[in-house]
Amino acid sequence: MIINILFYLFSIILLLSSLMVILVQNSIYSILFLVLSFISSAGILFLLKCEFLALMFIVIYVGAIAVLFLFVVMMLDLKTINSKKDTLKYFPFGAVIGGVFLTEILMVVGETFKSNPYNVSFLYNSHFNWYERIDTFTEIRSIGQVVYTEYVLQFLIAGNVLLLATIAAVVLTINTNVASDKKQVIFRQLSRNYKNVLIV
Amino acid sequence: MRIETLLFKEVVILPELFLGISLVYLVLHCTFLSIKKNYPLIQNSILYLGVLVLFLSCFLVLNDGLEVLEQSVLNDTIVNDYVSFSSKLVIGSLSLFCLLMIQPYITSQKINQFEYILLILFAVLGLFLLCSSNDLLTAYLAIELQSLAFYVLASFKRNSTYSVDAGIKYFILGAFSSSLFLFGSSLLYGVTGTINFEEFKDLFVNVFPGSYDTISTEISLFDFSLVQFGLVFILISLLFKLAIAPFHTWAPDVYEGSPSASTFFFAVVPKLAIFVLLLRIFYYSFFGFFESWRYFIVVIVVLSIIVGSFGGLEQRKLKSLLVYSSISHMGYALIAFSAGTLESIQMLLCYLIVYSFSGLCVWSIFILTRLKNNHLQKQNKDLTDLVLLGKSNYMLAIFFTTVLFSVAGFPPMIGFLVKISVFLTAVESSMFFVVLISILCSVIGTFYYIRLIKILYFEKVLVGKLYYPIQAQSSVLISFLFFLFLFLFINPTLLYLFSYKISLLVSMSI
Amino acid sequence: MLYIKNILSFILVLPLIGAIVLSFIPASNKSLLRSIALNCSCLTFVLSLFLWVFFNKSVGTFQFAENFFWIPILNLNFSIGVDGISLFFILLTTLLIPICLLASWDSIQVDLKKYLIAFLVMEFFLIGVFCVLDLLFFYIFFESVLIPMFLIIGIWGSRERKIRAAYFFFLYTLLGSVLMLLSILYIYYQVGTTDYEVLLTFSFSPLEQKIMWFAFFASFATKVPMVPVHLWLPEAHVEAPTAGSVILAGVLLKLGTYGFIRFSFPLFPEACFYFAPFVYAMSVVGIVYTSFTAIRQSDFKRIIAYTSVAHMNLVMVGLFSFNVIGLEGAILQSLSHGFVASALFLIIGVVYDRHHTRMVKYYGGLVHTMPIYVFIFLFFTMSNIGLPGTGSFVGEFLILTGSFKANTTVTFLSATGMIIGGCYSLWLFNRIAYGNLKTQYFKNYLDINKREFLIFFPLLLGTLVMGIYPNIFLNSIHFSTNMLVEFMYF
Repeated sequence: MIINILFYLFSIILLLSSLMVILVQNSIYSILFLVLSFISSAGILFLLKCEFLALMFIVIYVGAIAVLFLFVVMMLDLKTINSKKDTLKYFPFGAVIGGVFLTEILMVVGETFKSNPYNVSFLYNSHFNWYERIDTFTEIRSIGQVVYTEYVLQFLIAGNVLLLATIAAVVLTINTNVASDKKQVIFRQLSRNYKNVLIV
Repeated sequence: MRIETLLFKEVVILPELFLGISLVYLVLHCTFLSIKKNYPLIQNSILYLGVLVLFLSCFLVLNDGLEVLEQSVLNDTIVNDYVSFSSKLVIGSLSLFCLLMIQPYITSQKINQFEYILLILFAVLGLFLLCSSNDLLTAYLAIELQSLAFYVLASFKRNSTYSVDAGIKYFILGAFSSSLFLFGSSLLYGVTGTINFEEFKDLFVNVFPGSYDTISTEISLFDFSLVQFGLVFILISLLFKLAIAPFHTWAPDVYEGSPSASTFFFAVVPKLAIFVLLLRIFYYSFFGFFESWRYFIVVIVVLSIIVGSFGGLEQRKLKSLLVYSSISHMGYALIAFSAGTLESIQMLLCYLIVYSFSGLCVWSIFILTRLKNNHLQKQNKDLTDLVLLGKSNYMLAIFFTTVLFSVAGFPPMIGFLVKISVFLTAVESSMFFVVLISILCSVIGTFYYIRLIKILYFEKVLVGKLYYPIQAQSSVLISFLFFLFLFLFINPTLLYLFSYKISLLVSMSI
Repeated sequence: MLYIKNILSFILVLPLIGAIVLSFIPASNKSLLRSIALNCSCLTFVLSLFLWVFFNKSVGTFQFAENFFWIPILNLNFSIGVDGISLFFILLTTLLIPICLLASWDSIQVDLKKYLIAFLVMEFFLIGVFCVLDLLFFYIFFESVLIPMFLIIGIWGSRERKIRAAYFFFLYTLLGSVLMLLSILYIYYQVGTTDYEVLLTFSFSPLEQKIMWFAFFASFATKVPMVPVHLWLPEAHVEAPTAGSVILAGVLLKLGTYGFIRFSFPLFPEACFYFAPFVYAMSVVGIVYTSFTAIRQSDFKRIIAYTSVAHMNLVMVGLFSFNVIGLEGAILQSLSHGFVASALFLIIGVVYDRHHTRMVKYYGGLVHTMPIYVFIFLFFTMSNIGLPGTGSFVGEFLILTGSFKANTTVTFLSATGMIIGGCYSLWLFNRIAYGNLKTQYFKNYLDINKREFLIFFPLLLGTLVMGIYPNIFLNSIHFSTNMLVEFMYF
């Protein structure tokens, strides 16, 4: 039962924080909310007994990707854009459509996954796997057993995708004209006076 | 013509392996070369190297002999049957033509980064893997590989706002549709416990939910609505990728803003592979669920054809016109997809092959006509830029006219033949209303094609636009395509036999 | 004698070979281009005369028949053959194309090579329409004729309005034809093949027949043209170059009636009987309305265009009378209309080449300076009215007799239309030929030269022969039309 409560807690935090990522004005806040959503999804994964994957989430997503985002936001000095005016216009329509889809999903999913038909309760919706008590793998061992033997090709393709991402990032940002970085703008140099340079 | 390669007989994915390894090698080689010699202009030689690599991988595909049909390779995640063989062959040869055609474009537009070619090769690798994928995970990874290459290809010109805009739009829409695919496949995995297409087929071979005939009058013990639900998501994500109405709104912006060589690729090459995936999922694995999505597809078909026909009427730029024409063509292909018989798969594949070849012709004409006095530096040709092409380059104008009549589906061209084959399958399944509407809309669509012909020939202006002459290599390729076109009408038996053989393999459960 | 049985495919392919040969000749060598095109089309005409000579008049089956495999796996084959009905249409086509090429000898200077290739390709398609024995191929050739005609109207037309005319021509015909395409697909699905002789043995249910008849009607009615969908004809005729108008009036309008005879009647007989009153009504409206409209026109070509509509609607009345006399009259009237309307367009072409205007008010008193021309003009005006002694009279007489058997009111109304025909034709001739020379507009008048006389001479001869001794033509048609009518009633 406690697993249930924790699942709902983590899910609500995940939903709310991912919503806040796109709603807040300040970029740093939105990245911090992104980090919170990653951590709560790692928590859900912990509850599903995938501890390796959860820790990998935290290491890769939070430790690498979110930190990368933070660096970029820091260096680019993004101004906060006040775009509150026209977001509210689409909210009712989007809420109706989203509500319709959500009800449909919940109805269909709820019909299919009835694990305990005798005790239809909101809180006691747990499912007990007897075989796991006898013979368990740790998750990292099972991932290794499957990914590197049965799904090797998929692993290699995923590696290819990452290679492609690296090449893409380099292609889109590289500036092969190295000499132009160090150009002098004479006008700017000559128009300095001590009033706009010296900070006392 | 088969060369015995004894050592490599059982390596099923030899073409993809070769392509992947040579791509990695090319990346390393070019990077080190660039750094060492201070970034020389190597994109032309890399293009020819890429052509060589593609040609050799096509040769490896052709050489396969299909000997490993009954074995389960790579844990049954890769299937190597006639469908994958033929679609890989078609996609490989199309990409080969594309690469050779865009060579003058790359040199004249100063796309100086060699990675352009490598990205195209990555996309082709993704398409090869997509054609021979046998489960949802491989399909998703292959789609991601191909899509990621295309996102970057769309935004390759960094100085142009249009290009960057197109890249971002494509990226967001593509990521969204891939996530829909993932959601659908996770639902399918949740219900069935497997992601393999063969196992789906074994599980659902006698299940016909949603149909009202006598097969399923007994009370089924299992409620299939979640499976249908997952299938809907997968279907929508694949329809997004094909730019079919009502999921087409990204296509005009993306296709217009990308550099023309990239648009050439987008419009011609990936559609066949995505249709192969659609056929595998919806005709091979889940054929019983046909009735639940059939009318949904019919509505999408009618909408696509109407949007494609009416949308193209007010376009003033050539690229947007061609985008809307490809939207309507995908609508016609979906008519054959929604008919549900063996002949319909055969005609669908015929239609796709002819569509790809005619798309190749039209887009290569678009790329090869380069304006001489282009002081505005505009890339997207207005319709009036083609004026008097009949006088300045009359062979190209004749070719353009022939291909346009084929694209419009007008006799006596091969486009007419495949279009009536598609309508024939719809008539066979008694979908008369759909055929009536689509045939009337095709007449409306014919108008903008003959408007192009009018601009080529009929205008009585005194001075037309000047174009650079076409190089010898491109003209050889174009004339080869022209004769292939003319020949295909006189003897289309080859096309029909080819597609019939493919359709027999896909439809084992019908 | 050895190769007589293959002559039809040779006739079919010869214009195409001529077009291919022409494409290899450089465009600057105009005289060579013209002579090769003319020789090729004349050779085709001579060969088609062999078709007539060796035609067996005592059988009603398809003669000179050949079969080529196209897509064997889909049961689609290319079979060609001639019977009494199509023989004269083929002859008309092969006669009119050299005449057209001769008519445009001096007036087309720009893009001559493309023009000649377009005409020869169109000849190929036209002969194909009339001799092919397969429904799908009929449709393919039927539609393919639009492409060269579209180019001819659009490129060599006379003024800016040609683009609009070309669009009208193309899109009107296409819209009607796609409905026919649906019916063809349905027929192919039901029967399994589109071979004509197999289709004759098949019978459809009455409801199917009615729907499919209507779809075929939509396509053929635009070509005939019948009244609501006749709007493309005046535009296309006026804007096309002279030779384009000649071939349009001479042959392309016959495609509609030929399609009715060949396909609507045998395949859907009950629907034909069911819809006959509807067709009668539309044809009569067509005759009367267009005849009245022709009186008010001020453009010479437009008047002739409207007379074409009226004559073709009369042919429709004759067709739907469902007896041998009406049917033979319809075919004969089509043929004579082919001669007469082509000649009338050539007449306007002669005067247009000289003065570059088509307005009637600029012309007057031409008999003083161009007597031979006026003589020919008079002869063909009289044929247009239907003077006895010309082919039109025979055709009209047979049609009116045949439709009198079917429905007297229709006969009465269409005869009234023919009287109005006399009205505008005579008025037109009077204004142009007689009266005073309008020297305030034109100063130089030149009579017709040898080339122009040569293009009128075969048409003159043909009309005269048809008027005096029509049995030359009717002999070959008898058996086929008899078989057709019996087939329908069976």
